[in-house]
Amino acid sequence: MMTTSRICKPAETTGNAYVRATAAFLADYAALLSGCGATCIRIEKNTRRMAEAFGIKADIFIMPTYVSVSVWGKDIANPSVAMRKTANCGISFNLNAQLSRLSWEVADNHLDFATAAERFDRIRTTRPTGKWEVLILTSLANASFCRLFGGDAIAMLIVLISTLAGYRLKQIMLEDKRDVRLTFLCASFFSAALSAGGHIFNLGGTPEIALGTSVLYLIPGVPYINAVSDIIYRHYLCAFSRFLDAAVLTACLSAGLCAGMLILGLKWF
Amino acid sequence: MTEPMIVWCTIAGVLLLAFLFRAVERYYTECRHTDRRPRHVIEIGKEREMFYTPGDTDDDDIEDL
Repeated sequence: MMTTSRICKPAETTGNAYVRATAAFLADYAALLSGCGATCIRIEKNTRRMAEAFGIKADIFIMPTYVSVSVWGKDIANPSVAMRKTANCGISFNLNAQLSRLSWEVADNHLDFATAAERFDRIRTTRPTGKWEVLILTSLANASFCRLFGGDAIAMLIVLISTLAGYRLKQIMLEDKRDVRLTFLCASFFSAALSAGGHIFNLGGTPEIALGTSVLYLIPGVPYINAVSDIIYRHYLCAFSRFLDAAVLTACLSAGLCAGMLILGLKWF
Repeated sequence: MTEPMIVWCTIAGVLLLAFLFRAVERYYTECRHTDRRPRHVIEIGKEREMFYTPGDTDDDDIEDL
């Protein structure tokens, strides 16, 4: 959940009140950045960049579901600490880019604290991309994947349809607040079963490629990539958490794929 | 029609029905309700939710005791 940011009024921008307000703002910022799929190193760099621009020092402690920011001015013995739960906003490159841009604007254009907080509030009310748009683009992207792996036009069409159905099911189940693992399992099962139609009805020349690529849209690529980045920068806890999350989802989608093949009587190898 | 074909048609039919059901449910919700509370066409509930007379014992109250 996102918390309301505290916009500091100009009269408050001195002393302890300023440090406290900045700590709260930076914690909100870091929690949103973490929630929208940024790596730990990006969260650290962006938060520090803004803290320096505001003329204060900051340390940040990132855990898989919480972010804690410690801020101090001249008196290092009296820091102000703010902790926030990672925002549950889903991976969004748009939010990620806007938040990074804000940190650069604060650093390069010397935005004052009140303006930065106002812009931050505007950023976090950004509406996510439309679900129909995402559904169609994901299906087209997955059909293109099929082509990349050597699938013919019929296989691409099969993948397009199975992705449309599977992804819509995923959207419906997530809207209904179903468990994400169950959602992945069901979506991959139905996508795999639908794309197995190529095998069953002898459609096209590459039905096995259609079957294999029909569940690729479910692979949690961003958490895997972020896990590697976190390992490189020695954020092992976050890396392990992200990797395990992604591995569980991958296991669920594999189970759905296998169940689809098993029920339809397809040979494994 | 072979067995895999029948299974495939069943799976596709179930999915299609689920989407249809969802579309009908959404249409029903948007047309009949101005409050944004989702209403399901089929729900499981207690009979007391339909036939409740003021003064009846509330099971939840007894559990609390």
